[in-house]
Amino acid sequence: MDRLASIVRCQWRVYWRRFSRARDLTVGHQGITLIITVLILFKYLRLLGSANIQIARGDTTLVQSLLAGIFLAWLILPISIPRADVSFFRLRHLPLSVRDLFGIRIVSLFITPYSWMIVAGSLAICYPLAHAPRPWLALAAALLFILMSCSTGLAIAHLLTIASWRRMLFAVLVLLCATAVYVLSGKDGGGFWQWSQVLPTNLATRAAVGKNPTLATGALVMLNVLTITAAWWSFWQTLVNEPRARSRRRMDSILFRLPGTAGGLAVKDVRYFRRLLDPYFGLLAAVLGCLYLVSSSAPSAAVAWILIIIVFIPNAPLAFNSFGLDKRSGLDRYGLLPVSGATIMRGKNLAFVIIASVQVCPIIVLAGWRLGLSVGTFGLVEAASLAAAYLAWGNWMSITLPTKMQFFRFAPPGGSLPELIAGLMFASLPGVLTLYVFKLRADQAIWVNLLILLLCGILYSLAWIRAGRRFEQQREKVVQSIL
Amino acid sequence: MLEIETHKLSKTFGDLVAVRDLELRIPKGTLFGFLGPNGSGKSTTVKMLTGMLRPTSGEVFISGRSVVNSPLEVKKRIGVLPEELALFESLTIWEHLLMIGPVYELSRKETASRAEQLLVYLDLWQARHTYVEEASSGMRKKCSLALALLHNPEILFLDEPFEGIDPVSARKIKDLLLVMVGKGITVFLTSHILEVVERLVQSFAIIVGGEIVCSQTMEETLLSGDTLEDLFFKHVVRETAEELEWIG
Repeated sequence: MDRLASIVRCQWRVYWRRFSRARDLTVGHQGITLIITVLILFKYLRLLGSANIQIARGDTTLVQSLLAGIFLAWLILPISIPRADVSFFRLRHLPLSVRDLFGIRIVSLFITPYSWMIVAGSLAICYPLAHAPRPWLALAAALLFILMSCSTGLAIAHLLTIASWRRMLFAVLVLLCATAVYVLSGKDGGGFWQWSQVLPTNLATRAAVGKNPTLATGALVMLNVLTITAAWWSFWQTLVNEPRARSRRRMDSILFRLPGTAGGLAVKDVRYFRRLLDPYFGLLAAVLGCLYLVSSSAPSAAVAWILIIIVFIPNAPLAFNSFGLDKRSGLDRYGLLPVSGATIMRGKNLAFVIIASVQVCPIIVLAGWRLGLSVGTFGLVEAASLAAAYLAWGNWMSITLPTKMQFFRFAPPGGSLPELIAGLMFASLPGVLTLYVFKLRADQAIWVNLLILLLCGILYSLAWIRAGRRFEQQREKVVQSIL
Repeated sequence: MLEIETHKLSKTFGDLVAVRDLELRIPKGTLFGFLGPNGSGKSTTVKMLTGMLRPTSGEVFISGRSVVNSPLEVKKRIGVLPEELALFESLTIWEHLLMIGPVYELSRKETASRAEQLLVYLDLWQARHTYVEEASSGMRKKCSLALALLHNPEILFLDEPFEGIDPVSARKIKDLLLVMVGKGITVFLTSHILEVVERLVQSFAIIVGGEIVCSQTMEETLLSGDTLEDLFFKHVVRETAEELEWIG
């Protein structure tokens, strides 16, 4: 036990040392982040009060929604925080069994204050459930539900580190979203609501107030067995999937033929950005948007333009934290190359544009096909303005507030949540203005939008040059921030 | 003509003085060895000479150009094998070379041709599509060396080039360095392997605690009847293994 405790202690120190090394707990507005979190918790507590009254009357709608929120929080927690500051793969040379390592993995999940808040928030659901007609069974079901959520999150976080599983999980996500769109459109004739009876949120509330409570609890136990086994198996897979010395030609080596000094650098960044999970939500939004444009009998131009705004949002970390995936070694190479900081920034910006274009272009093309060339042109101008605005803000933020990101994880908000929110609002503005101007004066909208594009272009150029200069001066500071 | 020249070069990190008042004068076409124990300031010096680290005070000139004032001009002329190798994750060895070539204004064709020759010479051709994070430490080092050589630099900085390299490749690298020096290229080399340095370099300096404690040519060393190892241990304190009583 001491052996495990010593490793967990190290992880604890590594996590908290970040703050002590920064010598300022307010670094990156941690305080503001905390205030926002407290406000959310306050709202949550009020919802718990309402749920308490509802469940006493036998209404489980709100409790089910809260349980769904808890499930999502547990799903995101292991994916968004680093697997561990001490790599489990590197711990293999120590005399520790897989069970020991799995134990460390679970304990390390609860090092961050965010995980404590999720634990507290999850346990708080016991308060309304304790007032249900069958309180003890309800409490047991709630605990089983929390355990299942945690193990599901762990299993997915582990599987995301394996390429084939990543593809499979993305396919499942697309399928789920398509199903959700289908159900919400009301075309399934209520079939989904029958299936929803076996959803874990439903099972938990059925144990509290519904019919067949023992059966529902038994089903939750079975789900726990399944998800815990999956978490264990997937963890074991991450340990046995030793990186092999592959020697195969990559198809995307062709991409290395991008012209110019920044071309090669941009391709490297495309490869890096592809390994962040956030842009896949942009891709998902783009797929759903394309489905809408293809299948809808009367697609709307406004919806197409809104889709373009939405697609950019998950890609924000690529623009706002463009050095986040680089390591010291890579940043040292930037320091050795005979290129200016502006060229390095251009490479990163180009990579962002490539990733965003892959997602946005099909929407623009389909909008042009279904709604006319003018709508497509508007979309193109809007997308260009959005890209310039994102990069203008992003170039400033990438140098000022770089945060460490990890492959196959979501980008952490880091310590820069207010800047992130402000950046999203600023960068989405050209898209919102496109819609507003079109609604206000459709005849002159194209000129106004071209003016917006010009302004965004000027802002971007200024930000690009300045960020390049600042990167040259502050490369070492950027390195320290992402270590 | 002096290729590498420093005047009172110093670097401090907070209270720690990593390098103090370093004076170096290295002529063109010299194979120069820079020796010292761990933490003596070798890598910090290399970083300052190559423009990766800004000196706290003092000046560095490479081919007569100030590294601080004209970093890009200097970087175009030098090749560097840094201590940390400076490689990107998720790129293959081949992709690294393809990416770097255009940065040094080499055409794609020229880049591919030189890259192939370098990789064949360094026994990396078969492994060229291996990701660097999956390559062995020796392969990574050779990849970084290939990157340093790709643009045919006038001055080569090598930080521990023989560490983790197999004997065949080490021999090839040594031969290559001698050929390069014969063609007028200046090589600045740091290494812990004193025997190798002794056989390769024409002049050397020993740095201890951030200060140069000895600087001379190999010829002077041989005339004095010392070996490089003797000279090194005159300046570097050595702990004895007997103090570790509990071992064995």
